[in-house]
Amino acid sequence: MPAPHEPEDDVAVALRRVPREMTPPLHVASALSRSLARRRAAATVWRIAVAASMVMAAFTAGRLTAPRPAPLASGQKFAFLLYGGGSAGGDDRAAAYGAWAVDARRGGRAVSGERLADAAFVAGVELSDPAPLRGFFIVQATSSAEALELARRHPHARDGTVIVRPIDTP
Amino acid sequence: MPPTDSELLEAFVGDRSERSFLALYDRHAGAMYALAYRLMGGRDADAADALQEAWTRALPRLTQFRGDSALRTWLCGFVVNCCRERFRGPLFEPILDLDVGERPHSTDHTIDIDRALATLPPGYRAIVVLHDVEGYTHREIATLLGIDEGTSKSQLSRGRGALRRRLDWRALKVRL
Repeated sequence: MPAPHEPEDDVAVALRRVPREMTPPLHVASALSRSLARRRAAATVWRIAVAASMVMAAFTAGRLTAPRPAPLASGQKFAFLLYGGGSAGGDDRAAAYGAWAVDARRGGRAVSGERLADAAFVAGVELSDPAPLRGFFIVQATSSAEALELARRHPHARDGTVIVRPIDTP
Repeated sequence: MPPTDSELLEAFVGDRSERSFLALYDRHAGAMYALAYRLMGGRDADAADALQEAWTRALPRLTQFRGDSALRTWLCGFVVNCCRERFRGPLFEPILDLDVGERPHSTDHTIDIDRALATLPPGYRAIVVLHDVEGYTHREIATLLGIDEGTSKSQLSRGRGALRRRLDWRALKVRL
């Protein structure tokens, strides 16, 4: 028990008076700013890569056949949902994703895709801390097995998760 | 009139620019760093790492901030978690040995509160810092550290006792 001249809360009173703020080292803000700039650059490169690959595919298809790539005879559409994955290596990542899309088109599959921005606005019941959905591709394949094989070869599957969902069409 | 936290947040989510980030950072990093510094026992390099990691984790989630608490409290939650992980184990471990925390054998009467805090075992230090410096409630501390409210209360009392034994009360009273 404290002595009468040392009330129980003297320590608490003293602690409440310590400075609540300290100046952080300058290098922290610099490192975070650089990281932010890299993320912005990676997002830009991704959009450019996907757009460029789609334009190239459309141009090729338009020259050789019809305005749009001919769908496979028994093709079904699948959504490739890209979850998680690291944010490092933005330029290489975007280039790899673009190359995958071009390669898939060469195999006669219609492919489109978009990268999703970080912003997410929740309506309805909120999920408990899901892995971030980074982007998606819409791919045409003849079967679920073929779609899964395509997904396994997607560069995002190296460090992220690609979930394949058949698109339900009437 | 300075912009509110909501306005700063909205600006950053809208453009993700360095300028809007630094406006947010400048407002809250000082408090986040002070918390990290004290939780890490005054090790400034570890505190800086924890601060950087906390912002790295918070930035992608800023759009999920729903305003249930103050933005600073929400950001400081990341700091606490990062500090916990840097200890490679629980930041809080119950300490039952009442002899722990005897005043150091020193004649230095100028020992200040931060130095005394740094010598506390991490379990005491976390609760004393969160409750008495940062103003968290026992319920909030229990949630942050994954312990019972009752444990938080009892360890706070013991932590204050250990801190008291480390402080030179004559010097402290002069400062008060």
